[in-house]
Amino acid sequence: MTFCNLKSLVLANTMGVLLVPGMALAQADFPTKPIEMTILFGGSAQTVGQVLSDEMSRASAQPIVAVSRPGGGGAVGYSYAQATAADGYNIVWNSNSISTVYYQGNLPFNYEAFTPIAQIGVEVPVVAVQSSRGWDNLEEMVAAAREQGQPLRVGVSGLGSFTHIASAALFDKFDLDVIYVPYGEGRAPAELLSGRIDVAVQWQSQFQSHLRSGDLLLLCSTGAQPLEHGDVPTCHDAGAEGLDITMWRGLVAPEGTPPEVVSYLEDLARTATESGSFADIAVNLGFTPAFLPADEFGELIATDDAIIGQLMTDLGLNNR
Amino acid sequence: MTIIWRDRVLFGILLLIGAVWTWLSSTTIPAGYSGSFVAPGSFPTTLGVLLMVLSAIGLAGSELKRVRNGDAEAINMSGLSQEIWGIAATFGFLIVYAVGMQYLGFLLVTVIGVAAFCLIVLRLRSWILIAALSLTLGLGLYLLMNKLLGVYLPAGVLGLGF
Amino acid sequence: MTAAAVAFEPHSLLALVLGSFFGLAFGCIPGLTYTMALALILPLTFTLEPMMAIGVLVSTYVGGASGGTVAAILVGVPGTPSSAATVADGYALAKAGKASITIAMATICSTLGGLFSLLVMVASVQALSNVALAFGPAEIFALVVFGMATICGLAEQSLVRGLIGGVIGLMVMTIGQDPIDGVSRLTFGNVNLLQGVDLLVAMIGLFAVPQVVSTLFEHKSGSSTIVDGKSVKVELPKLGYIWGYRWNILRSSILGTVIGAIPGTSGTISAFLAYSQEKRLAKNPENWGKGDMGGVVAPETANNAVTGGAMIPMLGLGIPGDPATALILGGLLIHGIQPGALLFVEAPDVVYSLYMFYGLAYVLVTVIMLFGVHLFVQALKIPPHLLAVAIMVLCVVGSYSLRNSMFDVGSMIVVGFFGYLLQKARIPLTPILLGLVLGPAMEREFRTAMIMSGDSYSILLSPIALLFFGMALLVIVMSLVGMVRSRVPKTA
Repeated sequence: MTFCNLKSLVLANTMGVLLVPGMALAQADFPTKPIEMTILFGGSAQTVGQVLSDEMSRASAQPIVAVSRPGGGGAVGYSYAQATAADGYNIVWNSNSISTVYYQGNLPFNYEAFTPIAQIGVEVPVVAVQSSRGWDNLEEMVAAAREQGQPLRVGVSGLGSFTHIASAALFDKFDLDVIYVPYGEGRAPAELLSGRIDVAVQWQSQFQSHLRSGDLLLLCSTGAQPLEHGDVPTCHDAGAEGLDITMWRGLVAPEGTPPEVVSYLEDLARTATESGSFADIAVNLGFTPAFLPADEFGELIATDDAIIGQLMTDLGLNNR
Repeated sequence: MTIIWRDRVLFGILLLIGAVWTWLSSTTIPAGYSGSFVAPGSFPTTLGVLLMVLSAIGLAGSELKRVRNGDAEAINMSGLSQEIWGIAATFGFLIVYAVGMQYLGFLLVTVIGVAAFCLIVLRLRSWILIAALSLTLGLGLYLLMNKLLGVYLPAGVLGLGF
Repeated sequence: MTAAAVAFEPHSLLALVLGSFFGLAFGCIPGLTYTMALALILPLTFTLEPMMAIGVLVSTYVGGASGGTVAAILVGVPGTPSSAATVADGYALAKAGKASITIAMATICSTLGGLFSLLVMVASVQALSNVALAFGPAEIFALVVFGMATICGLAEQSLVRGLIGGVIGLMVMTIGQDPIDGVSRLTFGNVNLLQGVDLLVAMIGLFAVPQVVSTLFEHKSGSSTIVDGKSVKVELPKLGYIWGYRWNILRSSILGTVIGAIPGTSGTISAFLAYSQEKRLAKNPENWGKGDMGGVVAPETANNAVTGGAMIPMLGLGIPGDPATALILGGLLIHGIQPGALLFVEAPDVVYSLYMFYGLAYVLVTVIMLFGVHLFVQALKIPPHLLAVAIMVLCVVGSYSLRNSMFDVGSMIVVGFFGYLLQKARIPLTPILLGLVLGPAMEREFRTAMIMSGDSYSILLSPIALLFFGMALLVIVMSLVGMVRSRVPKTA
C-alpha cells in the first residue's frame, strides 16, 4: 500500500540493477541513501517540488524524497538545510525567497550559505483586476486610482513576500498611494471577486479559471518577457518602464557540497526538467520550466540578490 | 497546602508571567511596515495585560473567599510521592527517548528505550511481554511509517541506516 | 450515468479502498493529519488517469477526516485537531465501557454529516460559493470572536479560570513569525521558534502527557482499573438510537457545511461551535463533558460536514478553504482540471464523478470503521500502564513527523509539562485549546481588516460581522445568567 514509497523503491531497485555495471561504479559513493528535498512553501510551489522530486527519483539510483519544512517565509527550511552536512543528501527547493527573507532580517545567513545545483524554472507575478471595473489596461487603472481620491488596495501574498516586492516596484513607478493587503495562499482571487481589494498581484495559476470565465482580467505581467500563454503585455510595455521582476525556482545544497555530487544532482535535475511529463504537468500548474546549469544559476542568484536588496532598501523593507 | 494557598501561588505566578510577557513583547518585538496602527507587538502585549488583569481578579477572588469561608480547606496530599514518581517517569522517558533518537535513530532507541522502561521503571518481569511490546512499537511503527505510509522517522547520526 | 459507471469500475473502487485506508491510518495516529496524507499521496496521483487520481485524493481526504475519532475516544488523545472537541465526552464514554458504541456512533454521524454536506454541495455549489465571497477578513474575525465567546459556556466552574486558559492558548500561538509583517516575535533569535508552536504539537502535549502521568501514578499507587477481558464486547447503535439524535445531527451538519464553505476556517472551529451549540440546547448540559453521547455526535457530525463545505468554494471558485483542499486542488490542476464556474459547463462528468467518489468514499469508510471497531476495542484489553508506554512513543513519533522536526518534540514535552501543572491548578484545558485553535485566525483577520480599511473600525460593522458579534454577546450574557442562577440556590 505504500504508494509513493513502494513505487520509488521498485523504481530505485530496477534502476539500481540496470545501472550497477556502468554508472553506479563511476558514482560509487553517491547516492547510497535517499536524498531529502526540503520544500519551503505550500500551494503550487509544493506541488511542483513534488513533481520534480518524483521525476528526479526516476533517473536516480536512490529516491529523492520531498519533505515539507514550511514557515517563516522559508526561513525555517533554509535554516534546517544550512545546518545539515554538506554531503548532497539534503537539498532545498529554493527561490528568490532566500534574498527576501534575508533582507527582511529573519535569516542569519544569505544565499552564499548554499551551493547552486540548477535553476528549474521561472514564475512571473501578474497584475489582475475585476473585469467589471472597466479598466482595460494598466494606464486606465492608474488614472482611475488617481481620480478616486483614496488609496488603491492591492492584495499580495504577505508583507515582504515576493509578490509584495513586485507590486511595490510596480506602483512605485506611478507614485500611487497604495495599501498592501496581505493574504495567505490562494485567497486573493476571492477577495478580488468580492471587490474588497482593487488589484491582486499573484501567480498566474491562481487566476486561471476566473480569466477564462471573464470575471477577472490580467493587466500585465512583471517579467521582461511576455507570458507564453494568453495575450498579456509586460508591465514594461504597459507603461511601467524598466520593470523586470521574475521569480526563479531551483535547487541548492549547503555550501561545501563536493563538486562531483553537485554535478550528479545537476544531471538529475536536467533530465527531470527536460522530460516531457514534467513540462506537461508544469504548464497545468502555471510554472515555466527553464533549466539553467549550476554556474549560470549561481550568477543569477548573486545578481538578483543585489537587485532585491536594493529594491527592498528603496521600498523601506530592508531590515539589514 | 490549602486550596487558598494553591490559588495564591497559581495566580501569583500567572501575574508574574503576564508582567514579564508584557514587558518582553512591548520591548523586543520590532515594528512592522503594514502601515496599520495595529503592530506585530499589539496582540501579544494586549494578551499579556489581559493575563495580568485576569490573574489579579483571580487573586482578589480567592482572598475574598478566604475572608468569607476561612482558610480551612486542605488539598488531599496523599499519594504525592507516587505522583512525583509518575511525573519523573513520564518526562524522564520522553526526554531520554527524544534525545536518544537523534543519535541512535528511531528503531534502535524505541526497542532499547521501551524495553528499559518496562524493565527498570515499570518493573515488569515477563521477558515475552517486554520483547513483544518493544518490538511491536519499534519494528511495527518503523515498518508502518517508513515502509507503508512513506513518513520518514529519524535515522540517527550513527549511520546505522534505520 | 457515465459518472456512475466510472465510479463503479473496479480500478476506481480499488483507488477508493486504498485512499480510504491510507487516510484512515493517518487520521488514527495522533500527529499524522489528513493534510499530510494528501501531501504524501499526491505524487502517486501524477501518473494515474485523472478519474482515479480524483478517487484517491477524495477518499484519502474523507478517510483522514473520519479516522481522528478513534484515538480521541479510545485513549483520549485526538488523532487530528478537528476531533479535539470529541475527547471530553468520547473518552469518558469509553472509560464507562461504551467504547464500541461511541466509535460506531461517531462514525455514523461523521458519515451523515459528510453526506449532508455532499447533498448541499450537489444542490447549490454555485449559489453557496458566492456566500463564501461574502466573508472577508472582518466577517471571519467576527465569526472567530463568536467562537471565542463559547469559552464562557465551556469553562466548567470558574469563568476567570476559563478566560485565563483562553488567554494562555492565544499567547502560545503568538510565538514565532508574525502572520502579517513577518517579523519574529518572542523567539529570541532562535530559528526553530520562528515556525512557532504547531497546534497539533501543543495538542498532543496538552492531552496525552497529563494522561500518561496519571496512568503511571495510578499504576504505582495500585489503583489502576484493569478492564476485564470479557467486558469488552462490541455493541453497535440501533437505528432508533441514532434517530434520537436527529436534530443534533441536522443542526451540526448545517453548521459544519456553512463553516466549511467559508475560506480560512477549519473543521476544528466547527467542531467546537457545534459542541457548545448542542450543549446549550441539551436537556442535561451538566452531563456534558462527563460522557454524554450528544457531545460526541455534535463535533463529529460538524467536522465531517466541513469536508463537503470546504469543497464548495474549491469547486465553484477554485479557491481552497484549507490546506487539505489546496492539495486536492493541486492534484486536479496537475491533470489539467481547472475548478471554477466553467468546469460545470465544460466537464460536468468530472464534477459528477467527484460527487460519486465522495459519497462512495463515505460509505466505504463507514463499512471499514464498523468492522474496525471489533479490532479497535481490543486496545482496551491492554493494561493501562503498557498503553501509556505506547502513547508516549506515539506522542514523540507524531510530533516529530508533523514537520520532521526534533524541535517540535521538545515543544510537545514542554507544553505537556505546563499543561499538567495547569490542570493540577484547575485551569481547564478546553479553553486553552480553543485559544490555540482560534488565536492565529483571530489576529490575522483583525489586522488584515484594519490594514484594508486604513485603520477604520467601521469595517467591522458589516451586517454579517454584526450578526456574529451579536451572537457572541448573546452567548456571553446567557452563560453569565446561567452561572449566576446555578449559584443562587447554593448560597441561599
